[in-house]
Amino acid sequence: MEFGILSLITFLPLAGAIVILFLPKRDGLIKTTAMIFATASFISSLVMFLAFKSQLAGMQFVENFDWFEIGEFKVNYHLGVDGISILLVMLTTFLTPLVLLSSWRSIKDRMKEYMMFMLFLETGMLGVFLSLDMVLFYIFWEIMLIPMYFIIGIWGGPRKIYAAVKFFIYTMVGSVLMLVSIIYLYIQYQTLNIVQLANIINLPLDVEKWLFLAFFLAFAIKVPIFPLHTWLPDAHVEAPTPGSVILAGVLLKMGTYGLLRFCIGFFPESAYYFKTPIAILAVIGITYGALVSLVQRDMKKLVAYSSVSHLGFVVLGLFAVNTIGIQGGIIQMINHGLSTGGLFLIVGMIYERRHTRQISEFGGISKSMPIFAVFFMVIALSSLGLPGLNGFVGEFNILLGSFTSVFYDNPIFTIIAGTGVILAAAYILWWFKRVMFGPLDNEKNKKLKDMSLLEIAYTVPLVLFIVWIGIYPTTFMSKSEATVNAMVKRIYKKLDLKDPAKEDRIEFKMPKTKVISLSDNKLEDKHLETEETE
Amino acid sequence: MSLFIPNILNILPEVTLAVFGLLVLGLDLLLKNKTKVPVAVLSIIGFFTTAGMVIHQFYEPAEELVMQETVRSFSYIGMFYMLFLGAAILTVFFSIWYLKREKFNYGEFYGMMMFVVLGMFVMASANDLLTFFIGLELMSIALYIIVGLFRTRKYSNEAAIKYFIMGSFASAFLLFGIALIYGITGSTKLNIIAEFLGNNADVLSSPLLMVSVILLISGFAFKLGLVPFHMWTPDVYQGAPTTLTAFMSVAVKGAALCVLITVLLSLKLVSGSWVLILTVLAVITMTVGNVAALRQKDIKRMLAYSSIAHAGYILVAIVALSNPKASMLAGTSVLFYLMGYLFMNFGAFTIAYLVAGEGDEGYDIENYKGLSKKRPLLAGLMAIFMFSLIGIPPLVGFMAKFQVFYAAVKASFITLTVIAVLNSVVAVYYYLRVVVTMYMDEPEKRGERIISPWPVIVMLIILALAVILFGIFPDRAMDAIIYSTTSGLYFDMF
Repeated sequence: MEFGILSLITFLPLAGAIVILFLPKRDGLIKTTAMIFATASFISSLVMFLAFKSQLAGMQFVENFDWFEIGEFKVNYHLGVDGISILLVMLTTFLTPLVLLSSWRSIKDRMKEYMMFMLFLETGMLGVFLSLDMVLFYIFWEIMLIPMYFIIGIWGGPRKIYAAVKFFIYTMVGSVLMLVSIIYLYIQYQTLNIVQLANIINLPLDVEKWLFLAFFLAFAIKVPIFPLHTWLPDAHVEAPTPGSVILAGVLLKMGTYGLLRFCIGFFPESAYYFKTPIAILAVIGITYGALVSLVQRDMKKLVAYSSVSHLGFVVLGLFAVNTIGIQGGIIQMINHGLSTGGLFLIVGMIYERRHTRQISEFGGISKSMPIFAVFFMVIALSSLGLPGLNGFVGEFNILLGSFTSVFYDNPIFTIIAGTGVILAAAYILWWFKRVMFGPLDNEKNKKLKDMSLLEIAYTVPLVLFIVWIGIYPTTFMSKSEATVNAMVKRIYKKLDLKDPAKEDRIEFKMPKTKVISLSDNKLEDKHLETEETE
Repeated sequence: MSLFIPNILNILPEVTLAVFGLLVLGLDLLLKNKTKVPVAVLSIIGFFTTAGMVIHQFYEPAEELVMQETVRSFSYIGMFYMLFLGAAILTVFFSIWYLKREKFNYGEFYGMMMFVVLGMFVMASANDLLTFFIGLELMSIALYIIVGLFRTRKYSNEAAIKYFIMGSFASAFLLFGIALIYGITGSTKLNIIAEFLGNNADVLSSPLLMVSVILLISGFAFKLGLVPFHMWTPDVYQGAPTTLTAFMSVAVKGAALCVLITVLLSLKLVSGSWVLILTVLAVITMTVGNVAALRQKDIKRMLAYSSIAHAGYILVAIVALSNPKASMLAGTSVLFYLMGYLFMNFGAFTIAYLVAGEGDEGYDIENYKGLSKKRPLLAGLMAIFMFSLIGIPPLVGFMAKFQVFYAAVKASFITLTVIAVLNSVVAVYYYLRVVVTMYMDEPEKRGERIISPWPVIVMLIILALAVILFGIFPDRAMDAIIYSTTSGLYFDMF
């Protein structure tokens, strides 16, 4: 087998970083080179996207080589893409060039290192989504810490060092325990192949529980799930705008991706066992994040906490473990990348003009910046889940999925999460009102320049996809459907639950009664007895 | 006499080293008050020649006891030889510019280095506890001399005296332990001791043996700088010439570890309550080393405490030796760890001495402020070494830790592994602080010029490449190590 398109997508940015290392320190040249490589990676991912066969559930474009073998330990260079990862890969390759464009003016210091770290980061993130070997996955997972750490630490705000170190250590704590679990799995099954492992893992629940928790901790910190979220506001507030966009847009998705691929994919029994605590944490995250957003004075903090809330939805959807919930979770990951990324860009634009992010400093901006107002409006509305824009599609599916979930079997989570949607409307609209409307009384705000062509250039693609997903999500959701269906089917079979696809459709019409009857079936199930007695 | 000739061939590397050591000392006499570069070059040639001998000798492993059963000729030990030689070559190489800058350019340093390595060879390959003791003393005495090389400096004197007194204590402990063991088993030869203990299982629980083992382990713990016998480490590491500190943190520990493995295996200590004692030692060593390193302001002391922590991680592998399923893995992981540690630590210490500047005083981490702007290459290299010491994949530090943890999980020491990995997170903080200072703090106005001779820079780049390449392709190095452990049957012998 040859190196294929996935290696190309993954390592083009790294190649760009290496080329930049040897370039002279001329900012224009460096920026252009970085752009070329990031765009090339995007174009190759587009080729891959178009050639991707949506009807197949398995891995596609697989590349598998022996990498190294030390003693009995065999690691492969194994890449592949399926319905779960393809959209995230696209999101990464799509966002990176936009982010580079947004740094065109805003980064002034040490351009060479900056662009190198950005490209390096892209390779790390793509590697995480594409790896099919546990050790390869772990390597990419860890290595992407380094560029992000530098991006926050060098180009960040006043408390950048604190934020960077906190980010690094938090993530390390989770991931080292995951490493121990990876080793344990290898010793049990003699393979690191992610696809194989998902099918063969069959451990007693009291062992599997611990493995699940180790993986869960690593991903929960990354997502972040309440109460492990405290690094996020710091990292976001201190990071430079492009760093925040990547952090919110892609890095956090590595956590939710991991939850889906490993926690749910590998250990469905434990996922079932822990479903209630996780759902509780998810809804706490949703409401807590929204409530904290409501009282923020700093716009970046507001967006940061809104991330906690939005990702709570994603987690709730994923752990519903039915096709609708997981599909909603996946599309919501993309939505969050687009709209929260967009909001960070918006905040960045204001910050560049006024060098403050305090909401109280602003008011009536829509008069001095009309074009800006339009873009801000669209992105803000997408973030709060207005039907017709992308946020609605994700949230609706998640709420539907969790409501009908055989896993949760309790509508209370959906009800509480629903209030999160209302709160989101509250904090976003209130924020929008305070910044954009009202009297334009601050002298400094009167002279604000409207969006430049460059700024429009990197915001338009975001808005385009926000609308596209909102109106016709099938383009994207169809890519993941087959994989998700197969996964749900496999899990239900393993847990001895009823065929999800059928049940889901029935539940559309009469959810309440049906759910109860399902739970009756479940009571008889041996596997689940311990859970039910609690 | 006819018996003597083939015998001496068995210890050809040792003989070569001794001859070259004397030659180096002699050459130094002839070159009075002149440049010492020829002396250094001769000693490097000596080390390379010895390396050739080692490769020759262990190419077809003998795997036997030679010299009236006092020396073990095993390829596993041969790998340790190569490690010592690598460390020694790097030390001598970096010292050429370091000692010249500090104007302590004594040729004895290079001669003593050869005897230190000779001592390590003797002790690592000893089958007789007395032979081991002689090797240990040869190494230690040569080390006491060169630790105090900067004889007009306070710290250096403190280090030499402290090292001498503490080292003598440790030696006395060891000797007493050896005497007791001789009293119990009637021999100082490890293979005979192993046989005796195999035949008389009741002795294993006798209090006398316990006392002697405690004395032995304490002696090793001193030499390895394990907590609670670590107090001398930071002071000695700080006061010694920096290149030598790097050597001590890798090679001297390696020699002690090699002997520790042999002794533990032959005294059947890899079972029962001894494993518990070693586990406890490993846990407190890692934890104390890491926690103490958090508070250090001096980079040499920081690296000294971190080397205590690293010894703790290696001890995890030693604990894993106890499970026959994992003993081979554990043995290879110790060697790989030391090899990786060699690259990273020499890199870090060398940059530390370059940044310290003339007079050897700028070891404060504050001095690294803005290094990335002043000297981007040095800062970049230092960052690579620091990330490798943290254990970020795919650098060699990760692969080293990974294999230790793998062996430990395989041997079902899962709790110990979890403690070890959490410890490695604590370590993130102090290594990162160096990176933070280099990249994220603004440079200070003052700050002496850093002189970095190009051969040193080239060697540093080679070390950094080794750190990266052995991380991405660990099998290249591991093949040799695994070959040495599996072909040597070292772990089946007892």
